[in-house]
Formats: sequence, C-alpha cells, structure tokens
Amino acid sequence: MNLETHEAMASGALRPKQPRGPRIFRWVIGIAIVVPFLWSAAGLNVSIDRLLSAPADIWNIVHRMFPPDLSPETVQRALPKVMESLFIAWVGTMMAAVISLPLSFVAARNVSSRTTSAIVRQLFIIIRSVPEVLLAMVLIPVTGLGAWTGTLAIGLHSVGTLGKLSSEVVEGIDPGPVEAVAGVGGTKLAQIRFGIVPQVMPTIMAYWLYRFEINIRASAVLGVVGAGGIGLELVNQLAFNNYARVGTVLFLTIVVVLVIDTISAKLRRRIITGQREPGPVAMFIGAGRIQRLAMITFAVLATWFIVFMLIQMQSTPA
Amino acid sequence: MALALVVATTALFVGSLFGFVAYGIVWGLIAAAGLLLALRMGRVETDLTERVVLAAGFVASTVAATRVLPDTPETIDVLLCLQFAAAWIPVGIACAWVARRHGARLASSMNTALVWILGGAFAIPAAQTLGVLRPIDSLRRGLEPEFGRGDYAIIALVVSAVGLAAFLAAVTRLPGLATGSAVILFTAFAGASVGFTIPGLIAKIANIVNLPNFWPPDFGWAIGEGSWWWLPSWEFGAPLRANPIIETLRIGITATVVGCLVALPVAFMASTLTSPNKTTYLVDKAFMNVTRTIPDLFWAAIFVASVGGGAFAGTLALTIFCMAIMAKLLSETIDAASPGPLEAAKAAGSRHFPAIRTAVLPQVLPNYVAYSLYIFELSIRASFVIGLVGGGGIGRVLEAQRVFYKFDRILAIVIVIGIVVFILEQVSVALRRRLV
Repeated sequence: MNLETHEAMASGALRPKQPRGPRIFRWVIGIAIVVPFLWSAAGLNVSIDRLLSAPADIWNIVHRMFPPDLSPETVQRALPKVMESLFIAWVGTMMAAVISLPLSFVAARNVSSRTTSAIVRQLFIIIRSVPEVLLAMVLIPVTGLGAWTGTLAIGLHSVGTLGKLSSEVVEGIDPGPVEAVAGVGGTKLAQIRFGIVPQVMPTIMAYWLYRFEINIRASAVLGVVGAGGIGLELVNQLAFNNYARVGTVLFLTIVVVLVIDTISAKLRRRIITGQREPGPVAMFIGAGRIQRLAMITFAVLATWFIVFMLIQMQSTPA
Repeated sequence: MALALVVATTALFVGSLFGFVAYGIVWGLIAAAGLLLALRMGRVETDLTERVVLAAGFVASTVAATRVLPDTPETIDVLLCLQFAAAWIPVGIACAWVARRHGARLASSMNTALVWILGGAFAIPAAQTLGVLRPIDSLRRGLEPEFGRGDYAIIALVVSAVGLAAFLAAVTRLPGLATGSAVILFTAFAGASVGFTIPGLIAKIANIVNLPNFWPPDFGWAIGEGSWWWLPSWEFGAPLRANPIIETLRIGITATVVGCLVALPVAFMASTLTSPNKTTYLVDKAFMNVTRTIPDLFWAAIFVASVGGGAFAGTLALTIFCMAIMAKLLSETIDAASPGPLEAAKAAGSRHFPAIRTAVLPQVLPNYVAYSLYIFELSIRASFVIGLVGGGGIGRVLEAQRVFYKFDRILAIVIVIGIVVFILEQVSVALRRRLV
C-alpha cells in the first residue's frame, strides 16, 4: 500500500466497506449458542423461586460444614480413605502408562502403518468416551466391590487419554535423529529406541504426572458407586446429615489434592524444561537435575509413608 | 552398570535360596560377595576397609531380617513392615558410608541409606502383591501355611533391587536408576494396598462367564422394544418420565454456557496482568483453587443435599465444575498475553475495565472459544455421572439399576452413553478444528 492510497483512505475517500462475512458468522455463532442454551435451560423445569432460594439453601449447608470436625477419630476414619484414593490414582496411572506407552508408538502415524495407527487411535477414542465412574460400575460384577475395581476403571480410561496424548507427542518429533539411526543401518526398533524415545520421554512423563493429578480427582468420586476411596465416606456422611464430617472429608480432599497438584506441577515443569526452580529444597540439595528429582521424590514418599504408618498404627487396636 | 546390578541382585536372591531363614549369616555372606563382584565389574575401586564394612553390614542386616520374619506372618501389618525396614538399617548405613567415601554428595549418601530402609518397608507388601506371600489370616480353612525359600527370595529380591540400585547409583552417579526403582517399588506398595494380586485378577477375569445378570447387555430394555433402529425411544423402561438422555444433554449444555460466562470475570481477576488489586487477586486465586480441587460428583452431592435432588442440583454442580476449569485455563492464557496493548490503553487514559475489554479480551478470545468447546466435551461426559448421587439425568437410571444388581442393563446404558459421547466429541473436535 503506497502513501497516496493511505492518505486517501484516511480522508475517507477510499474507505472500504466493512466485510459482511464475519458479521454473519458472528450472528450464526451467537444463535448456535443461545438457542441450544434456551432449549436446555427451559427444559430443566427450574422455577424462579427455586432459583432465587438456592443461594440461601447452599449457604445453609456450607454454614453447617464450618468448622469441619477435625477430631482424631473422624480424621482417622477419613484419612486412610483419602490415601486409598491416592493409591488408586497412582496404580491406575502407572498401569495406564505401561499399557499406553507401546500402544502410542503403534498409534503414531510416522511410526506404524496407516491402517494400524487408525485402528489403534479409534480404540483410544472408544475407551476414552466412557467416564471412569461408569467403567467402574460395569466392572463391579467382575472384580467385586472395592479399590481394585476403581483402579482398573481408572487405568482403562487413562489408557485412552494417555495413548492419545503420547501418540501426538510421537507424531510431533523431529525426524532428524530417526533418519540418522536409519542411515547407519539401525533396525526399526533401534530407530524407535535411539531416535524417538529420547525425544519424547520427558513430555510423555510430564503427561503421566498430569494424568495422575486428574486421576486423583476421578478416584475420589469412585467411592460413590462402591469402587473404593473417599467418595463413599462423603455420601454416607451426607446421608446422615453429618455436615461437620462432610466438611472434614472435603477439607482433607482439598488439602491432599492441592499438595499433590503443587508437587506434580513443579516436577512436570522440571522434567520439561530441565531447569531447577530456586526453592528451599533445591538450594539445600544443590545437586544435578535428576539427582534432585530423585531426592525430592524420596523425601516426599518417605514423609508420606511415615505419616501414613503412624496413622495406621494409631488406628490399629493394640 | 545394569549388568552389575543384575549380578548383585542375583547374589542376594540366590543367597536367600540357599541360606534359608535359619542361616542369615550364609545369606549375608553370599549377598556381600555378589555386591563386591558387582562393584568390581562396574570398575569401582574399593579398599579392604570398605569391603569389610559392606560385608559386615550385609550380614547384620540379613541376620536381623531373618529374625524379624522367621515364619509365615499372621497378618501383614504396618508394625511388621516397620520392623522389617529396621532390619535393613545396617547395610543402608554401610552403603551410605561407602558412597560418601567415593565422593557422592551427602544428600545422595543419605538417600542410599533411606532407600534401603524404604525397600525393606515395601518388600513384604510387594511380595503380597505378586501373590507369593500370603499371611495366615488370608488363607482358606484347611490350607496349611507354607512359608518357604520362594517367599523369602521374592522379598529379598524386592529389597535388594531397590537398595542396590540406589547404592550403585550413588557410587557411580546414575541417579535415574534409583528413581526408577523407587517408582516401581512404590507402585507395588500402592498395588498391595488397593488389593491387587496377580493370581486374584486372573481368577476374577476367568470367572466372568459365570456371572449372573451381566452378559449379554440388555439393549431391548435400554432403548425400548420394537423398531429400535428407527427413532429409539430411550425411555429406559419408564415411558412416563422425562427422557433421561435429553435431560442429561440439557444439563451439560446449560452448565457449559453459564459456567464459561461466569468464568470470564473470575479468570480476569485471577491474573496479575488484569486483576484490579492484590487482595482481589489473592481471594480469587484461593477461590479458584478450592473450587477446582473438589471433584464434580462431590459438588453434585453437596448441591443435592442443599437444594434437593434433580436436574437443578446437577446443573449447579456442573456449572461450578465448568467455571473452575475454564477460569484456570483462561487465567493462565491471560498471564501469557502481551501487556503492550493494555499499557497503551492505560497510557491513553482508559479506565481499567474498558482497557481490559479492548486490549486483553481480543487477545485471549480464540483460546476462550477453543476452551469452551473442550469444556463442553468434559461437561457432557460429567453430566452422565452426576445422576449417581441424585443430580438428574441418565445417572439416575443407572443408580436405580445398580441398586437392583441389573448389570446387563447397566452395561447396555453405558454402551449407549459411550456412543453418544463419542459422537459429540467428534462434532466438537471438528468444530474446534474449523474455528481455531
């Protein structure tokens, strides 16, 4: 655009008309949101007075949950359940990680053939489309009530999500190293092992941790259908109108999930960027990256383990 | 180094096979010999003092271990695990000392000792997970408790795999080895505590053909008899009630729209770039963290208790759920937005909110749309389960059938749900690709 047209535009002589396409598009989008919303909101049969009295009702319950009942017996009842939820999430994630890692290579278009990868990707989508709680409900007659059912459900569902994420990572690699390994005569397996795995492993491990965070929330609710964890405790206490204890359950869940989230987010950032974050622990140890990773993992696990044991010992009758 | 680890672990394993429980000393000596061989193969120079200390530590530990667990335990409880962990303190200290002398950092040396102890603590539950060690109280009547070399060997394998890995890692500075074995061990421990045993799993899966009310899925009941291939009725055995699948979708859509709208101000207040002041920022951040932490079904249970069961409670719960996720995603996007336009608008004299509206909102709008579609998927998926606690929708039907153990009907509904979610997800993915 030269200077003259610019000046002409500024003076208004050549001012272009506002294009109509985006405006129509905007209206279409607006209608596509508003109409389904009105349709669904109208169908929920919520009267105005119910809507208006809802805040008061909610405040009533929340008010009764404070302060939470933090007496030793309540905590001793709830904390092992929270821990069980954590274990379910961990074992489920590990299970899914082990299963999904090889599958993700099969599902990646740049590693395996077109048909195979399409089949495996569809498999991932099918697995993913059933929520964990429903999977647990289906599995209950097979593996019985208890934590193991929940673990299987979490593991199965996570295979779908982790497989999708990991295969996308594998598809996004830099092809250079693979070609280099192929160029010196490496087999297909060697190409994967030395060309792809070193590139994708940090990201995939970060995804595992991320999935672990999500799975903690998922495993917390599994108890609702009797598949282990803290959910059953919450439903029971609500059924008995024991709102102080409901508060305890929520409090413990929030604390544990927040702690794990924080640790996991730090670890993920460290795995991906490979840089240390200046923090009290890092300053104290001051070693190499993986060494510190190991040290922190051990410290966390050890502390957790000791606390868990102490609680168990207290609750075990002598 | 992996070969050296295999050699040392095998030595401990073999030692426990030969020098069974009564002869802890024999076991310890074989194990120590194996470790020294491994160090030699790994080209780690050790002098006489170090070798003697390592051997002495091994013998002390194995003797203590055989004293702690001389027979089949009655129950595998925490006290037993702790005692067994304590048995591995001598070798842990010996290894830490040697590692320190070889120039490992103090932290790594301490780490080595800690790992031996942790390995001891996890070993018995791990052996239970693998199905080799059964406590007396879990044996069926008529079965004699058997406690043999195999049990002990597996326990020893678990301890040594992790302890030796940590030690060799500290001496030769290969910390990935230690992290990996710790993760495996913790998984084994967690597996034991959720009741995972390999023989049990096989038995349960083999039993699948004998289950009543499980196979085949009862589609006839789920989607109505008659011409189901054309216009299925989805009435789930109760033609007079509101159509549960439609109700579920209504809950999901309403919650997504309201939740995403409410999330806008929440997200803008939770970013350092656009928050009006520090107090608002902190309060909003805390609010976001708490709402995000509580899972969707918990919200549903709480709202059912407070406003009564039905679709309204479910919608409220899902709204909070959608809002929490959207606020988190969007506030992170806002953090990453370019501050230039906002500063320009402020410098030109704009007030805070108009400045945000004209300078920051357009930057994050594409992401907002993409997140909305993503949250729509999540919300639809979540809306199918909130009925389990009374939140309305299809979950209500599922819960009713679960109470009566009609698992064939549950299976049918779950398959139907899977198909609906699958289709909606495909639509959403296609839309996202077009729009963003």
